[in-house]
Amino acid sequence: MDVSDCTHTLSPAKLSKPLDVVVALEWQLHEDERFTARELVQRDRAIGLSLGAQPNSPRDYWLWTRDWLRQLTKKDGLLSDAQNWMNTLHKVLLGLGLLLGMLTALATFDYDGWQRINLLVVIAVTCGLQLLLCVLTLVVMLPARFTRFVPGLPSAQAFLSLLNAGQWTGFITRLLPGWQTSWKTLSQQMRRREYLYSDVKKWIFLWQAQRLALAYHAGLLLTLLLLISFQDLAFGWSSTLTLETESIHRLTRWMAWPWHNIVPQAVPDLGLIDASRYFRIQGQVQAINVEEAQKLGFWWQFIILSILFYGVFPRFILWAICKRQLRQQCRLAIISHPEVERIVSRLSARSVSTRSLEPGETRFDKTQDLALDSLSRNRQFKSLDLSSIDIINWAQIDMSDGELLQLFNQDPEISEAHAAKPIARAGGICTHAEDEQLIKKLSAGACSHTVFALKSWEPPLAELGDFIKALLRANIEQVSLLLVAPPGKKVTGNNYQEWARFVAALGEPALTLLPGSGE
Amino acid sequence: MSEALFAVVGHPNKGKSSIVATLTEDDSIAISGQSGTTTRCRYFPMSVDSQVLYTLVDTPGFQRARKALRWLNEHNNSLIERRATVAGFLDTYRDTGEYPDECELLQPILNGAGIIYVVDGSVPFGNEYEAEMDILRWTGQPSLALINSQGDGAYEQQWRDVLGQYFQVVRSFNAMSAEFDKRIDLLSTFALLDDRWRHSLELAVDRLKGERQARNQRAATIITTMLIEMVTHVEEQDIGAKIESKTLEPILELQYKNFQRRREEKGRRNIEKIFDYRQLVREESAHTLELADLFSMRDWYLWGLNKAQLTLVAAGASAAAGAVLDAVTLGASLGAAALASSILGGGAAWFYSDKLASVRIKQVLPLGGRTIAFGPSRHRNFPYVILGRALRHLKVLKQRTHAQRQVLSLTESEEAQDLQLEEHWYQSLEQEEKSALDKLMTKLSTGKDILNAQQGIVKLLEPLIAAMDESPKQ
Ligand SMILES: Nc1nc2c(ncn2[C@@H]2O[C@H](COP(=O)(O)OP(=O)(O)OP(=O)(O)O)[C@@H](O)[C@H]2O)c(=O)[nH]1
Ligand SMILES: [Mg+2]
Repeated sequence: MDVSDCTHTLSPAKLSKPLDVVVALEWQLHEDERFTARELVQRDRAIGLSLGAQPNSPRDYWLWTRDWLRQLTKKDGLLSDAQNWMNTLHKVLLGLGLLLGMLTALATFDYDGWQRINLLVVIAVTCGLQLLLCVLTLVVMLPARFTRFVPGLPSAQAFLSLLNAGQWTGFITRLLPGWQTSWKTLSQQMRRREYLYSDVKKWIFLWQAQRLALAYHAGLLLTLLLLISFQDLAFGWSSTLTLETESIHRLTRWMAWPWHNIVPQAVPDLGLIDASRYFRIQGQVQAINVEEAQKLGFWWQFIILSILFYGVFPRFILWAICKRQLRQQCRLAIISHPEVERIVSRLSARSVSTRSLEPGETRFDKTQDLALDSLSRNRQFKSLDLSSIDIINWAQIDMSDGELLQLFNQDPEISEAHAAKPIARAGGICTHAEDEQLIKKLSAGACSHTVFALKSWEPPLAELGDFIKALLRANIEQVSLLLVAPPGKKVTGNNYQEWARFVAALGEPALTLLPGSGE
Repeated sequence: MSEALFAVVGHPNKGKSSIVATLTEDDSIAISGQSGTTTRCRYFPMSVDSQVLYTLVDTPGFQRARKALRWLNEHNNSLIERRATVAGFLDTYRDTGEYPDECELLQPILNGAGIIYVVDGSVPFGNEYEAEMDILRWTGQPSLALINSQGDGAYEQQWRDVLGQYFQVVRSFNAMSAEFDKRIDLLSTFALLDDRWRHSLELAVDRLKGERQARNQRAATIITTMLIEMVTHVEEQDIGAKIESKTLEPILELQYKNFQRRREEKGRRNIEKIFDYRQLVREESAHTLELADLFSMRDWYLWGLNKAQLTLVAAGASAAAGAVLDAVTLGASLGAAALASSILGGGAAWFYSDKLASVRIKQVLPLGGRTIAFGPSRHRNFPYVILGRALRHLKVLKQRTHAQRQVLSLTESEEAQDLQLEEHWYQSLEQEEKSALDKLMTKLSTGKDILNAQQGIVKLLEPLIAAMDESPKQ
C-alpha cells in the first residue's frame, strides 16, 4: 500500500471520545511502522498544512493528533474492527450487569405470600452494600499522591482494584471470539507503554465497573417494578436484635430525608413501621387483612426511592467522575506520548531538506590500494646517471637546482658536472605553449630519459598525464617520476599511493615511479 | 538568474566534497583521498516546504587549467568579452571529452553560481593554482575562498596573501570539525557575495536554526523515552505452579540485561537517524558493543554519579547540602555521609551494591499461575548512567561532520581518557538544575509520577543538547 492511500479516505472515522483517539493512535503507530521516515514526513506535512496555525500548547497537541487521526483512519479499517469488538465487550458486560440485577431482585423480593419480605435485608442489599462498594471504589480512585501518606492504603488499594469488577474485562476478553486478531495486536502495542497507560487502564476499569453497577441497578429496578405490577408484595421487618420501632423509624426517616418534601407518601410513618413488624415464632400463618396488606404495600415507594438515591445516584456520580477522569487521562497520555511529539513535529515542522535529490556519481567505488613494496617509498635512491637524463622541475618546486640535483645524485662532483645542463621547468606558472616548446626541445636533445621532480603533496593532474604522453610519443624512451617531499617533511604513504595509482592508470610501460625522495 | 546558487570548486582533492557534505549534512557524498573522486556536478538544493532557498553544487577539480586558459587567451580580444569567451569554450568542448572536468565545473558558474574556491592551508601555495584562479576570474562571478586545512594550517597566512588578490572574501573553514554554529556563520558569509541572495540566505539560516532546534528537541524526547523505558522495564515470565523460581532467576536477569542493551542500541540508532547519519559505520561486533558494556558496573561512576553525589541523592539532600558543600569536598568525608544517608534513607547499601533490581513472584488472578518478574531497576545510579551514556553518544555524533568517513568509535580506552578530560555532564549543570534532575530521577527510580517526570527531564536535557552545537570558546 502506498502512503498516499491513507490520506484519501472515503469515510473518515468520527473519533469523538478520547479513548477512541488513544486506540486509533496506537493503531496508526502500528500501521506506520511499514513506512520510512521520509514517506511519513511527506504524508504528514501535507496533512499538517491543512490543520492551520502552529500548535503551541499541550491542548493543541491533543487537537492536532486527533485531527490528524481523523484524516488518516478509515471507518471500515481494522481500527473499527477493534472498536466494534470493544463495543461487543461493553454490551456483554452491560448484559451481565442487567442479569445480575434481575437475579438479585428475584432473590431479595422473593415473596410467596406466606412470608413477608424483610425490609432490613432489602435495605442492606440495595443501599448498605452499594454504599460500601461505592466507598471502596472511592478508595481505589484516590490518586497516588494522597494515598502515599496513609500507611497500608496503597496495598489496600492494589488489593481492592483486584476485586474491582472492571478488572475482569481482561479476563472476559479472552473468552470471547475475535480476541486473536485486531484487539490482540492493539493490546500488545499498548502494553509496551505500560507507564503511559497505567492510569488510563485504571480508569477504564473503574468506568467499566460503574457501568456494570448502573446496569445492575437497571436490572434490579426493572424487575422490582415488574414484581410490583404483577404481584402484591408485603414488606415487613424482623430482626433478632432487640430493635425498637423508634430506631427503625429513625433510620427510615434519615433515609427518606432527601425526598420527604417531594414525595411525602414515600416516607414511612411510625404506624406503618409498627404494623410491619413481624415475628416468625408467632407461627407461619399470620393473618393479614386486606387493609393491612395494602398498607404494607406502601413500602414499595420508599424502597424504589432508596434504590434510586443510595444505589443509582452515587453510582451515577462515580460513573460521571470516572468518565471525566478517563477522558482526561486519555488526553494526558496522548500529550505525553513520545510518538505524538514526533507526529506533531512532522505535521508542523517545515520540511527542511538539504540533501541532494539525485544519486551521486564517482569515478571510484572504493579507494584502490596498490600492493606496493612498503619499503620502496623509504629507500634512498642515488644511482641516476645525471649525464644521461633530462630533469624537469614540474610546477616549480621551491628549491634551487643544486638542491634538486642532490636528490638525484648525492655525489657533489657529478652534480657540478651537470650544472652545465640546467634543470628544465614546466607546469605551474609556465604556459601551455611553453610546455609544448619544451617537449620539442627535449625530443630533439641527446637524452632519451626524462625525469620529473614532482610535488608529492599535490594531486597528480591530467595535464601532467597529457605532457608525459606527448613526451613518450616524441622520441623519449623512458620517463621517471621522483616525488619531492614538502619542506621539512617526508613523503607520506598516502601521497605515494596516490602517485602510484596515477602511473598505473596512465598505463605506459615506459613510465616508472622512482622510489624514495629527499627531505 | 536570481536563485542563490553556489559552486564549490578548486584543485582536486582539496576537500570540496567534504565541505558540501558538511554544509548539507548529506553523508551520501563520495569523499576519498584519491584525487578526481568527483566527476560530475551534483546539486544540493536547500528547500523549505519544497521552496528552494539556495543550492550548493559539488564539482570535479580542475585538471587542465593551463591548457584551457591558453584556449581562452587565444580566443579573446578584450576584457569585456571574457565571460563570453568562457561560454564559447564550453560550447566548443562540451561533450567532446577533451576538457571533461573544466566543462563540468564551469557550467554552473556560467549559469550564475557564486564561486566557493577551496584550498588546503596545510600545504604551501604553488604556481599550479594560478591558471585556475585566472579562469574563475574570467567568469566575472562573485567569489569567496575557503581555506580548509587538512593538517596543521601552517601555510594559512601564505594562502590568505595570495587568495586576497583574487577573491572578494577569504575565510577559514574546517570541513571535518565545523560545529553547527560555524556552518551557519559560513552560510551567512555566502550572503555577502551578492545582494540578491541575501534575503533567501537569511531565511535559510533562520530555517536551519529552527530545524536544528527541532532536532535537538526530538533528541531530548528520544533519550528521555529510552531512559523511562529502560528504568521501568520489567522482564516477566509465566511459570507454572511447580517450577522452582530460583532456577529461572539467572536466565531472567540475562534477558533483562539483553533487553536493556538492545534498547540502548535502538535509542542510538534513532538519534543517528534524526541527525541524518545514514551510512554510519560502527565499530561493533556481536559481543563488544561500543562504549564499555552498559552493565560493567565499575564504569558506572564514570557515566553516572559518583559515590558522593549518589549519597546526596540518596539522602534526598542534594539541594540543601549542595548549596553548602560541594560534592567533591563531601567526597572526602564520604564515610560520614554514607553513614548519615544510611540512617536517613536507610538504603545506602542498595546504592553501592551491584544489585540492579529484585526478583518478584506474582500470583496472577484469577486463574492461578504465577509470574516471575525481574525489575524495574531501583538502582539509583542506573538512570544517570543511561543518561550519561546517551549524552556521550550524542556529543560524539554532533562533533562529527557528515564529511567524516571513518568508523564511529566510542571504544572503551579512548572513551575513558576523553571523559577524564572533559567536564562531566552532571557537573556542567547548575545547582538548581542538578537538584531538579535528582528529583525527577528519584521519581523514575521509585516509579512514581513518571509522566510528569518525562516532561521535566526533556526540559532539562534540551539546553544540554543545544550547548553541544556551539564551538568551544577559547
Ligand atoms: N584532516 C582533514 N582532512 C580533510 C579535510 N577536508 C577534506 N579532507 C580529506 O581530503 C580528502 C579529499 O576530500 P574530498 O572532499 O574528496 O576532496 P575533493 O576536493 O572533493 O576531491 P575530488 O572530488 O577528488 O576533486 C579526503 O580524504 C578527506 O578526508 C579536513 O578539513 N581535514
Ligand atoms: Mg569531490
